[in-house]
Amino acid sequence: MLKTKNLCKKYDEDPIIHDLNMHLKRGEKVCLFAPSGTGKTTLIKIINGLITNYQGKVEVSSKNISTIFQSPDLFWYKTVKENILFPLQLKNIKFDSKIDKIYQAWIKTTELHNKEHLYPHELSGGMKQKVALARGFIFNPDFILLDEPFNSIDIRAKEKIINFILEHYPQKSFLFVTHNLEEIPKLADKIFLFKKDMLSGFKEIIIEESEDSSTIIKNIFEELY
Amino acid sequence: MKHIKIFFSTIKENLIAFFAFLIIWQISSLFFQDFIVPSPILIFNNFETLITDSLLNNLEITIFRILTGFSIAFIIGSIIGFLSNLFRIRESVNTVLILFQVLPGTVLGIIYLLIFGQGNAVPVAMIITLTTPLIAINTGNSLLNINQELEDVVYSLGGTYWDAIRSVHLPALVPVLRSNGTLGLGFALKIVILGEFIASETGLGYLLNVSKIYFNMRSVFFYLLLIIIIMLIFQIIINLIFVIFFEKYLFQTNIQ
Repeated sequence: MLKTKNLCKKYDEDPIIHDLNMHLKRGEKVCLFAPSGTGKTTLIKIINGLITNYQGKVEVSSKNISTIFQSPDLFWYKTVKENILFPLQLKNIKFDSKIDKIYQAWIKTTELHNKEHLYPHELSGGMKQKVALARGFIFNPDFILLDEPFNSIDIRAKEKIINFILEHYPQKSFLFVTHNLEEIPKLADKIFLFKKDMLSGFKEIIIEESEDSSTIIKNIFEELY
Repeated sequence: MKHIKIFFSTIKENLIAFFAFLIIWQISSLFFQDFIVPSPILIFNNFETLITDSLLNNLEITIFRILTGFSIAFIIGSIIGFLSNLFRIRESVNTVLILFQVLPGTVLGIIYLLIFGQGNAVPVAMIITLTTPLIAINTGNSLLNINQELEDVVYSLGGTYWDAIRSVHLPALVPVLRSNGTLGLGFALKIVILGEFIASETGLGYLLNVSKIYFNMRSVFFYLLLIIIIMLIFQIIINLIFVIFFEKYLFQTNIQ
């Protein structure tokens, strides 16, 4: 699904990503763990094509990609429903019963019923983030880039949404970027662990199905410190 | 219901401003004799003698000139500002526009008088020349605050350049058009009076000029009051148009 070869990115003369070689297979759910401010968002923007001035190669095998950013960035003049359905308008996808079913499922999971007519300025930070998540999944993308999308969502809702994603999008590929250790075991089956930055490579950790959350976190913690 | 509430709140705000002005004027008039600064109460008591058929005709002419000049300036200025921001040439365009903006109105009025002669053309041309740069600069500067991340959302979802314009730039223009309306109309009103002062034998500016020559300060202040009332009415109308028809686009200030 994704292959980067000797990927390098500099801001002015400061390197932020150096010689990054990453491979993500179709259907894989990879968590990219790196400390804050090390270029995770830059990497996401390179993969989805927002940043084009870099060295090296980036190959993505599908064009049906979705990105869910750290900040929700909703359209201020659109209601919750209009914001969620916005990608359909861009992609000329008709709102039919199939899409309506996905939409209703997201509304139920994110507990946004009765709020569909509200505008972003009437929503809390967590609600906005939920709208952004639903918007990112509504058009059934093949490859989903998630850039710390659960930051302002409470634990209970986060758990519910993650379970929903795993249940309804099992065949999809994910690149989930985070600096929050607790989120990793729930979503990923593989971890790319960057200890300090994105300049000196990463360690690949495979998560076994039998491993419980605390063991995974403990293993990552040991790798880090 | 929500619109009705906003309707009354807009009117209330404008009326408060108007009454505050009247109070300041009334207090100021206490320090001068009536033939220098007549009080608003005195003006109101003489309303019947001041409102004549000729005044209404001249008022109509002035409003026609304002609306004609302002409409043209509004369209041209908004387009220039929007495009200069879109093509990232705002700085260069602003430099040129500022040159036009600093042109002294009186000099411009005399030049236009020589070109067009007396009549509607001079005040209208003056409004266009002096208001267009103001509107264009305001548009360009206000659009600088466009949320870049929203554009990223459009592109990351597979949207095109046109999708970004349609979904981000054009909606962001709506609150700017509203401020262009209120700002530009006030400015146009000032310029039309100047234009009529210099090169017309009709309109409120001309009446003001005649009253000034005879030191008829009661008429001068009455016309000034009329100008303020016209401006307030324009402000209310513009705000109402935007609040009723484009309300959802005005939420932009408290985005994210």
